[in-house]
Amino acid sequence: MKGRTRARIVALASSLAFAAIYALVASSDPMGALYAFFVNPFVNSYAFYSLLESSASLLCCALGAGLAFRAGAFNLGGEGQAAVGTLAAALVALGCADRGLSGAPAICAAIVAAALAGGALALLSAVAEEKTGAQVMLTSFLFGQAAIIGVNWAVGGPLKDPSANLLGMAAIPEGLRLPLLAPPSPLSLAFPISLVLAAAVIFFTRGTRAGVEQRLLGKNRLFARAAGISPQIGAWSMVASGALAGIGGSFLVLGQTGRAVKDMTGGIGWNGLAVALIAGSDGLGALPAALFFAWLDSGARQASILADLSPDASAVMKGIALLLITAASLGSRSRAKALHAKGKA
Amino acid sequence: MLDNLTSLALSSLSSAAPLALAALGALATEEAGSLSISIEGSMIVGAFAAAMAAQAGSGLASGLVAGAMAGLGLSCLVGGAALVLGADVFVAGLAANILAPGLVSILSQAAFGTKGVLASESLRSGPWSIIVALSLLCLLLILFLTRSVFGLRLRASGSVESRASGEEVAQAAGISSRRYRLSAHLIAGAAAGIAGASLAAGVGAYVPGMTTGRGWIALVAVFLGRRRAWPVLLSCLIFGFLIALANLGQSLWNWGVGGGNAVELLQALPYIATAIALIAWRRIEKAKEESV
Amino acid sequence: MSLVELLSCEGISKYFRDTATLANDSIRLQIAAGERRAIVGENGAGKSTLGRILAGLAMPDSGEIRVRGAPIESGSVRAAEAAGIGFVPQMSLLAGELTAAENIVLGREPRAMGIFVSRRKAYVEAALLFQRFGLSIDPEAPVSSLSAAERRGVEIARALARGGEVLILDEPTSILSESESERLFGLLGRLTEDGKAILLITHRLAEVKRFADKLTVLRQGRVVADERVEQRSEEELSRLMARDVPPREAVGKARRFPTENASRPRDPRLEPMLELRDVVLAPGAKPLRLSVRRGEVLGVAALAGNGLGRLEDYASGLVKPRSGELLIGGSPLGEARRRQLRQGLPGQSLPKSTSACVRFGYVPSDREARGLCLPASVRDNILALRLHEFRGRDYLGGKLRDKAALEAASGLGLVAEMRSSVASLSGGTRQRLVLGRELRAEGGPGSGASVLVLAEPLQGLDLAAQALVLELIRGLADEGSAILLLDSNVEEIVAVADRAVALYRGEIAYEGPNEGESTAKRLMAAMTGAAGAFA
Repeated sequence: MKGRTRARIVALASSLAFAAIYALVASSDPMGALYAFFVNPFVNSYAFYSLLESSASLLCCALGAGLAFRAGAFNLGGEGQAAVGTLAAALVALGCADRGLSGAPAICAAIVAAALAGGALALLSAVAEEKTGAQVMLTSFLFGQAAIIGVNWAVGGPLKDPSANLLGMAAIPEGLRLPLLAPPSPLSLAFPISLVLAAAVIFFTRGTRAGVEQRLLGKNRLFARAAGISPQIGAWSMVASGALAGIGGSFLVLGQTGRAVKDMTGGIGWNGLAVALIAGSDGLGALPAALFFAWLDSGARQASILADLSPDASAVMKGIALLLITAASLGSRSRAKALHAKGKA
Repeated sequence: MLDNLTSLALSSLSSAAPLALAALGALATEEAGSLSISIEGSMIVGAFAAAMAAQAGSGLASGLVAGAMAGLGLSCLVGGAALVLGADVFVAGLAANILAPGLVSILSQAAFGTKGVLASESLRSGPWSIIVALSLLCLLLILFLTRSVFGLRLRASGSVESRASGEEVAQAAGISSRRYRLSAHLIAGAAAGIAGASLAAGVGAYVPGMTTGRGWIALVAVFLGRRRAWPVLLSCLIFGFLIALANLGQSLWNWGVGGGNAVELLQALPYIATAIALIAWRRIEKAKEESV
Repeated sequence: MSLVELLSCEGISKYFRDTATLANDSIRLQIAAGERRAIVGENGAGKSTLGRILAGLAMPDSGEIRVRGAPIESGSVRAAEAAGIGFVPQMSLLAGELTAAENIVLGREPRAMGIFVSRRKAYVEAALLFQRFGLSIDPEAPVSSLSAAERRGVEIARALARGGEVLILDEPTSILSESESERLFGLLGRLTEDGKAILLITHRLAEVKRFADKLTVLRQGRVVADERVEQRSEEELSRLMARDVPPREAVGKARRFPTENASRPRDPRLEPMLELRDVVLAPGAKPLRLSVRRGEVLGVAALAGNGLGRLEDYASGLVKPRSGELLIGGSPLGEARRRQLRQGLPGQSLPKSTSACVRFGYVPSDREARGLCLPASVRDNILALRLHEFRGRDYLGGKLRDKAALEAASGLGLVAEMRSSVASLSGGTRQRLVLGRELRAEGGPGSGASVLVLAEPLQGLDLAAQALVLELIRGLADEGSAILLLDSNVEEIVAVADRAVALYRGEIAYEGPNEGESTAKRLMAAMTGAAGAFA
């Protein structure tokens, strides 16, 4: 698909071009700013490990969103599913702490709880669609938004830690957090776990029967039905999607931050969706795309500290990439379309 | 008590008016067959543009115009990407929503050296001027969509109750569905931009995050209203009331539940209510289909 | 009579990439003023495409359209209308949400105050039009509330209001009753008296005989005849229209018809494998009953719009009939069981009787929508019904699956790159893929006795492949499969069927054993609604 690859390249290139233009226009030292943006995240091991860590949650959410797409469902509740994941993980971790439990099993329990919570939220939409035909796209969004509000209220309200100054729950003790791999950087076990999950998803998609069923269902629902493929694979994909988002949320809580605070997810679900869209329908693209986003964020941060650019430049760059990524093809086909349109009123 | 009620009523209208205008704009795109989800983004840039204009000392009218232009600019990107470059209109809208706050932050930093609150006293206006201005615009928009030639062609372009698609229906009548969809995007952007500007005007400042997801609520109203202007308007009134109630409750009564402020949960009501309504409607439709 | 050339086209060609078919192949046409022309052809012959191109709804790949000698812009409805061409499409192109009057004026709206629609003027315009053509339709009624016939009426009124010279109608009587069709032809006749030209696109030969002066026959996208109507009989015409079918002699086993068929003992104990009971195929039609036994090929012939599509929907199990039911192997087919049968799963729930069914094959008439997953790979499409075979084996790399897919493909001479997407295949190759998958030509596990529903199975194939497929069908029946063959081409049915049925307006118009030539004649007559078809 030459047109699509060309569109991808143009989208990513435009995104990077913005950084260059921004640096030229707004910075007193454009070259220095660009260096800080593009190179610094790798030069400094602390920055590099931070980059990897921040991509972990993002990757999980992206894997989830991608799974749902492939099955033909547009899961727009990723943010909410991640949010309930953060809450579930925090509750289980603190609950274990109260009972004096700690160590690997307890951490696992917290992550599993997060997966179950996210999966349950997604299940609501899946069931609604199966029973009534209400579109997953709409219900997942609505339930997700409601969930975010609910979680924020709980975390900043009844579950708030009375002794702390911030709007959040109690801190999770060290033994119940994900072990750090390279202190003082925030890199934790979350990153390797996310890689394992990515491998699992790729394996599922390419190598299993259910993966083939999912693919066929997503690409032509009528054909799948005619061929006798059960629509259940669609529902399960949705649940898995929510579970992965929930796991992504749990990483935020169980990582270096070590506690659940209000507005914890901070757009990770939406960013995950964006990453999945940029990665395309192939599961392999999720990791590079997630790293790309994490790199943009890291770079923008570096550029704001070391040079005089705004850290929000990454948001603009992400937007540009996403805007152009689904363009049919930039160039020949749009011209043909324009010519055809001229033949009409 | 009466004071509280009147202030609640006023607050409801204040909250509902921007919602309504933004929702009607989104409705235009939905009726044209190319739903724009970039309402939130357009509101953000609209609010900022109004505040920016106010730095030069302009008042409400100029602020609203500035907001309209900014919102329109953003929706140009969305509509252009979707209808000219063939991008998926949903993804493009999402991109705009991700882009908008970042863009505003960058501009704010570059122009005013801050990415925080941008005070704009000259923009500050009383609630009634805003309500009246926006209501007027809403009525004009409804009139335009339902009675004008443009509105007729727009609705034909997005026809869903036909045997053929909106593009085919329009083509058969010699109309370019693409042109009307693009125009719908521009209208939606301008409307959302004005709505955002009015938010800034209400407090006399631009505050990052001041839209608090109202663009999304406007979209929810479009779904709840099922593609009809008056039900959409009604939904906005209800949502406006809920927002006002939540705000009032926060300051006045502390409906605590174990230390938390339960009125915060009221903000979830529009989403939950719409989800329930959508599911219930689908259930009814399905039952009808099966009994025929 | 003046032979003023009103509409002409030259070298019109159109290729559709998504279905990989050449719909129009260098078509040349000349229509004079006051002429009544019929464009006839089978399904898929390219008639609708031609109509749409002439009306400006589709852009031809090449060719020119002229009105009164002057070339007009192609692909533009406005240009066509300005030149006087009006079009009544087969599928309604009205906006359901808008009223009848609004649809009439859409694009040329009368204005009030410059930007608003003058509803009064629109109402008056529509009301006058409806009155002129004898239509009793409320201009204020939303189109979605109108009946199909009323919608057709609005389309006709709109076309006449816009295109003053030539009126093209695509299968206008497909949803009209006999009396409504009569009224339509009366109206069309009056129009030609006024000097308008009428282009009637149809496959109903009776109508052609009744209404047209001249006719043009299309077959597989090309013009094969262009002459006066009285020169040919209906039978000759239907032969002209028919797709090339291999002569019966070329189809190996089929050669033994009809003698072998007549002498084959029929075992009355055998329950029907597939049975449709009391289903209604068209609004107002009587409920009918069809059954196919083991080892039998039942051929059902019908022209488009007479219930064949709905029969396919019900027989394939994809649509639950509103009344009546579908029974497979003697018991009603629920969705879960259908899935099991499609995937060839051994089901514990299947009755252990002589009519136990191992699998269910379905070759759909709408190949791209139901028979293929275009964006998916060739391999995935071929193995779509054999997903369970590779359970627990063949993970990353997929070598086993590749091999299996290649074997399956060779069964029907399919040559394609396994990993490429089906969208890149030609129409004929796609058809081979679907046939290979559903007919299980290569044998192997699970390819035993089955129920097959085949709808237009020979579409897109060349002669040699058609002969091969017909032999295959016959062979499968001999091995014990029950086969329901739905086809609009009578020759194909007569080549392989044991029994044949013809549908007309959703009801059985003829039913009987296949005796070759005589059956073909009777089917044809019954299909087209000719009276006395039951002789």
